[in-house]
Order: sequence, then structure tokens, then C-alpha cells
Amino acid sequence: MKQIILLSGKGGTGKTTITAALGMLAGKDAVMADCDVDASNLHLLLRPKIRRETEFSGGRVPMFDTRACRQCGMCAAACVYDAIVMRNGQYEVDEAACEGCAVCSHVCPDGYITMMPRVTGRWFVSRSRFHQHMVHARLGIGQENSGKLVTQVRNQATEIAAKERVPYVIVDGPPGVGCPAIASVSGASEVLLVTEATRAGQHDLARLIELLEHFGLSGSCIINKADLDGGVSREIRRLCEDHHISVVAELPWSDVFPESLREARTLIEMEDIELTAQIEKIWKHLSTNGNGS
Amino acid sequence: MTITVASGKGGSGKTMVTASLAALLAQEQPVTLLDLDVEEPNLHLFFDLPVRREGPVWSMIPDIDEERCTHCGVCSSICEFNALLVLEEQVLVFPELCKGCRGCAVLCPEGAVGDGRKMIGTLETRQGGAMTLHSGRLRVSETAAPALIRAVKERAGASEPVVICDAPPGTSCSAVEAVRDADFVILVGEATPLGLHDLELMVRTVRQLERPYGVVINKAVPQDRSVHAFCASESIEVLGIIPHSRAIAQACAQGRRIPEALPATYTVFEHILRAALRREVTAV
Repeated sequence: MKQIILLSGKGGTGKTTITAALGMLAGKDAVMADCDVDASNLHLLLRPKIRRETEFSGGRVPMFDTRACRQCGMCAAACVYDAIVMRNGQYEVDEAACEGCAVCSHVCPDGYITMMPRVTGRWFVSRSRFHQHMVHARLGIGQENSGKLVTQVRNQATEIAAKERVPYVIVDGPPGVGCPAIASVSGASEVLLVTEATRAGQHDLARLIELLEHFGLSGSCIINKADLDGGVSREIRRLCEDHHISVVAELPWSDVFPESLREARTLIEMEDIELTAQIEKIWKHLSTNGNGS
Repeated sequence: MTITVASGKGGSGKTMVTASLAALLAQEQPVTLLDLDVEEPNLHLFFDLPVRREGPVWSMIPDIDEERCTHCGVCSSICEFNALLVLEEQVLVFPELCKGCRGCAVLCPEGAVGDGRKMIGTLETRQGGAMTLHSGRLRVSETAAPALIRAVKERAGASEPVVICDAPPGTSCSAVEAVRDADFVILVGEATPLGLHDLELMVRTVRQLERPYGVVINKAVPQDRSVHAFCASESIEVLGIIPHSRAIAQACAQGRRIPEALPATYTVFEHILRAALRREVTAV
């Protein structure tokens, strides 16, 4: 089974739009996974029917026995994240700041702080409208541990693919190079970098390549909006060349992208001959490259 | 006053809006900018400012004093992040898992855990004319984005009249760290179903954090009024509408500030800026 992940560094380069189009081409040969768990969008294009929904708890959060608390303040003093605040004469947790380290519960001399599991999101096993399995998730607002939820989604998708003997897992990755991107890239057999011909796209691609090399991975690249700036496009091609990354397609800046989103259709369904040919070329490259493992 | 520009969806136009507003404001007063998108800092690409200061940002990791350590295992048992493993003869520390909570140092009965450090990224300060820009740059392969965001925020002094922040995308811990103490949040919503979906998540986030906010609709087209409709139904102030345009995308690609590159857009950004600054009076 081959795990193909799409990453971009910068957001808004067309990752999700291209993932959905590849998913349509792959059909039942792929399990789809949306690893952008804090702003997941793939379901808007693949419009899946949810078959199974599971609560996800990653990490813990302190709960105070406020009636017994003597307000000694040792918990607040020990918290390096300034997550324990005094409100209306009582100590309480600022969940947005809390990292779940549990130090407060250990230093409370009276044992009045208990660590409770924190429900940080939900994940779903669904069937997309192209009759393929799809795993996606929703992270609770402002929650920690998006990396753990990403891992959960990825593992579920590969498990289903292994069990049902589906040859490909196609992963829509998160933006950035931090914890969610790192969690989604581990175990990938093929990385597709989706960048755009902008200064920001180029800058972020360079960091993403550094991340891949750190994990001993390589990949191929698509330059989207390639005609926005010919100079930047050239520099991106050179950057890829220097790092032995093949540029498999260059797509023009096109209104078909936003239109496809508005119509909740994949790029293939937009029936643009040139774009369809390009996506088919990308899929051919991904599905034959290295012949999986 | 701190104004933070945020959006759930990446590529909505956060950095473009931040840079454009800063360029306008800098014509009349000093402006401090914070690039809080530490995974992919891009704000500096919109300014030709020399780097004046650059230095590492550290986070605490345990430094085990093997002389004192009795291998009792307390440190590894209390570590929520599995960053320590106590063997019979030695303690293994996994710096990449450590979140610098100092629990092991505080709780070690032998006082055998000292403060070591790891570099989580760098902090860069650029300065020129009325503009000062502080950017955090997360070290590639490091995951401690919220800690670095806190370090960037500390760089801005409390006395500065206006601080404009560029937040990371998403709605998780990094995005929350960026917006949670803003005086006013500008949410940039892309006028597509994906943009709307993530804008709704972001609106819930800023409401939960009890921050005053308004929305800028970006990449607007006549045939899609869904973001307008959402804002109207939720009584959210629309601060400005930026059209979907190849000319804007092109200027952006080259790292140009839009009101300067395309003077026709001047009034839109001017309106957004005034609306945000007015909130200084009304906020809290």
C-alpha cells in the first residue's frame, strides 16, 4: 500500500482542490484522509456519508475542587504557561493557555486538582461520493494535540486500506511545518508538494523541503498559479532541481479552482480539458512512481 | 492597542491584509508588526526592511545530574509528554517531545534535574522608517509553535500605540495563542465555501475567547454572497470587501502592499484600518 500525502507549507495553494480531484480519479483504489484537522475542508468536495463517529481525547486538563481550595497559589506559581488565573477570587484554568502538563496537580499540597481527559475532537469513518472510504476529523476549538488527532486519522486510513486491500491512501495534509505537518508526514511513501508562484509560496516550500530532508523523505512538486509570476516560478523550479524534486505539473492561475469550490465539484467535474489532462498526469506520476511498497 | 489578523483557512489573505494596513498606518505614525505565523513566517516578504537583530529562542529541557540521580523514576512517571525514560543506569531525555513545563525539575526528590535548553526557533527584528517588524521562525522539525509565539508577543512593549499581528491559519493551539489577548481581531474570510466553513470556526473561536472582531471578505465575486449572508445573519460587522482579482493576486505574489501597488484599492483598506482603530474606544 502506498501512502501519498499532499503538503504545501503555505495555505491556500490548492492542496484540497487537487486532493479531491486525485481522489475522484483514484476512486475505490484509494482511501481518502483529511489530516488538516483544525480547518478540514476535503469533506466539502467529497461530500461523504458518515458511517462511524468517535470522540477523540488527547491529553488531559486540570479540574479544581474550588470549594476546598485554600488559594495557596502554588499551582499558579508552578505553571510556566500562565494558564492558572484568579477570577472572582478563585483559581481556575485558562484552557486556551493550558498545555496539559499536570504540574499543577502534582504541586497542589492538598490534592485538590485532578487531571481529567480532555475531549479534543471527533473523527469520522465515512464513505465519499466516489464510493471510497474516507477518514476525517474535527478538532475542538482551540484544542491542543492536533498532532495526535492527525496521527489517529492517518492510522485509521492506513488500517482500512490494509484490511480492505486498497492500494493507495491519499492524504490532504495540514499547512505549516509544525506539529500537525510532522505528524502527517511520518510513514508517507510519496509526498506531493503543492506550491504556488508567489514569494510566500516559494519561501514556505523551501522550509517544507528542509522538513522532508530532516525526515529523510523526498517528493515531487506541483507549481500552482504558475503564471502569476514567471520569475518566481523559475526560482521554484531551480529550488526543486537543487533538491532533486521533480516538478510534475505547472497549473495556471485559473477561475476554475474557486468555481469548482463554489459548485462543490472536483476539478475533473469542471470538464476543463487542459486541467483534467494535468491532473491525470499527476495521478499517473503518483500511482506509478516507485511502484509502491 | 493590538490588532490581530486571523483566518481559519490558509491562503485567505491574512498576510496581504496585515501588510497593507501597516503600510497605510505607517504613513502617519510608528507601527509595530508581529509575525505570529512562526511555522511559515511571510510578513517580512512584503517589506524591504533590514534585519537589525536576530537571536535564538530557547525552551527548557531537563538536564540530568547523573551524580545525584537515583533512577527513582519520578520524572518519567509525571511527564505527560513521555519526554523522559529512566533506565537502570541512566535517564534518556527526548528533547523533541519536551514542552518545557519544568515538572521534572520541580518534582525530582533529589534535585537532580537542572534547566537545560533547546533552541525552538529564532526571533528576528527588522526596522526601517516608521515600521518595526518582529518575526518568529520555528526551527524546522520543532513543534513548540505556541512557545515561540509567546516569545514574539513579549517582544512588543506595552507602551507601543498600535501593534498589528499576523496570526497562523487554523483554529488550534497556535491560532488561539495568537488571538487570545488581541484588543481587536480582523477575520479574513475567503468568499468560497471552504473559506466560509473555516470562517465560521474562527468566529466561534473568537467568541469563546471574548474578543471583539470584524470580518474582511476577500476574493469576493458577485455570484457568491454566502460570506456576506453569514455575517448579516450573525450581525457581524463587515469591515471591508476585497474583490477577487488577478491584479491583486499578482501584486501579492511579488510581495507588494496592495494599496500602494493598486491605488484603486486604497479606500477599502483605509476603511478597514479606521474601523479597526475605532474599536480602541469601544473595546472593553
